Amino acid sequence: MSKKDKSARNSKIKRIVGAVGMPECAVSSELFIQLYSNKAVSIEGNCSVLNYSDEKIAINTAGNILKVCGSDLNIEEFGNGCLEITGCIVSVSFC
Amino acid sequence: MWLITLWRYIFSYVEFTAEKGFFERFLNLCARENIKIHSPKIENGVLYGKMSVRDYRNILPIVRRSHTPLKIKSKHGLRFAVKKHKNRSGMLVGTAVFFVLIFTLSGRVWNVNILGDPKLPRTEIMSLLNSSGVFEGCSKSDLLSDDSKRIRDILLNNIDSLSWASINLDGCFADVECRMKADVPKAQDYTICNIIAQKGGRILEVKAYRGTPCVKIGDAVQSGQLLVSGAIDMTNGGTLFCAANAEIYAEVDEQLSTFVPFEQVSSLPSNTGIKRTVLTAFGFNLPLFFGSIDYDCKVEKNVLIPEFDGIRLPFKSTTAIFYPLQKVSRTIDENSARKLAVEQLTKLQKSQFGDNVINCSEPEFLTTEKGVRAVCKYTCKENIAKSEKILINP
Repeated sequence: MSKKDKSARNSKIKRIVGAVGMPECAVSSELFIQLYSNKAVSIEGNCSVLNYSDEKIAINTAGNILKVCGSDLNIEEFGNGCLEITGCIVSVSFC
Repeated sequence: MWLITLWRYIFSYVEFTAEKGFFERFLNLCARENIKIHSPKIENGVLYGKMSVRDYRNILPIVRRSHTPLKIKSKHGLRFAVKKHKNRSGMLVGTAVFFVLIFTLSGRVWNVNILGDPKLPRTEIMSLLNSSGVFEGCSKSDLLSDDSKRIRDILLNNIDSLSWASINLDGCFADVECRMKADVPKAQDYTICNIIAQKGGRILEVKAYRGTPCVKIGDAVQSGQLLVSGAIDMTNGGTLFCAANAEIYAEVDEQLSTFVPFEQVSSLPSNTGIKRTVLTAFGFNLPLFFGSIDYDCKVEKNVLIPEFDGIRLPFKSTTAIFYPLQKVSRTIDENSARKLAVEQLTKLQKSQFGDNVINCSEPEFLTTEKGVRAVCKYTCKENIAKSEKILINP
């Protein structure tokens, strides 16, 4: 499937989802990030770990790199398109 | 969280470390291959993590690709706990027996208790329950609501003295609650009658509840004599007939006799008994002996029911000792025969007259070739009133 066809298909899906009143994120293949206060962050979608240390975790997402900075950072769960990080989170940034 | 911990324990997991290699690549490859690593952590250049045993077996290609050799730090879970005791087959059998017992025993009735009035015909109720399928060891599902209603109806239809019955399950115990019918007072007979004497004697006490008394204290009466008349004379000259009712106590002469033969035959138990034991579990009897005893015996029975924390367990051991009876004949002298006769007379007196004896004479003995006959005369206080219908035209 070419890039043009793919974008056309995506826009079609978005129109249908919009017509039935569903949130776009329900069918989107993009990342879904949830932040629980500054204690945990849950990332759903295709991603891989680039760097993992106590103070910084870098995650490769589609086209972007997500950096989670803080202290005592831990990967609690990783797999099935789900990544959960706990610890004291100071910042979540894309670069 | 404890559920996840239990789940992981049941399926077992290993704790591993990796000291060199590309840890991030290792994590990414694991995630792609759907291998779950619990709490991966990199500390001082060492990767720590936990994964299930099944996943650890498939980790080798990922280890090679990420150049991250793993080292097992510790093993946890049921699989390893069982493996540790694999040479102890008794433990495995014991565990299996434990679970089988738990599942089997909890579905059975352990005890059948009959609750209610102490005068209840318990033996009859228990035999009816047994024939209806309620016994120690029957399945609890057999006592569901429909069945318990059916059994309750059987009890009420077959035992007249019951007014209400109910079967309730309390854990492994079947409680059969029963109530007796209340005693209905006997309807009084109002047929017109007189009170006559059923025995001759001297009147001691007159309690005339209805009717006209015809005797007074100290009078001597004969059998069949009128004591209380059912005819009451009115002041206006008329006569009213009623059902006379009275209690008339009189001194009555009675006589008792007994015969004691010189040749006495008695059955005596032998000194040595035969011991027989039967184990009962859930209504099934397991005799621990062979053969049967057909001759007359004196039996001493001992039932041992184990209890735990005040709860009767569904097992019991019944031990019976059978002492064979031997017929022994002996000849007694006249004095012994007289003594025996007096003892028998005393027993007869207690059973027939109770405490109503006012006076008794010395026993008279008549000795024959075969034995001794003893006769004793008594004076007793008795209610001699007896009703007799008055035959009149309506």
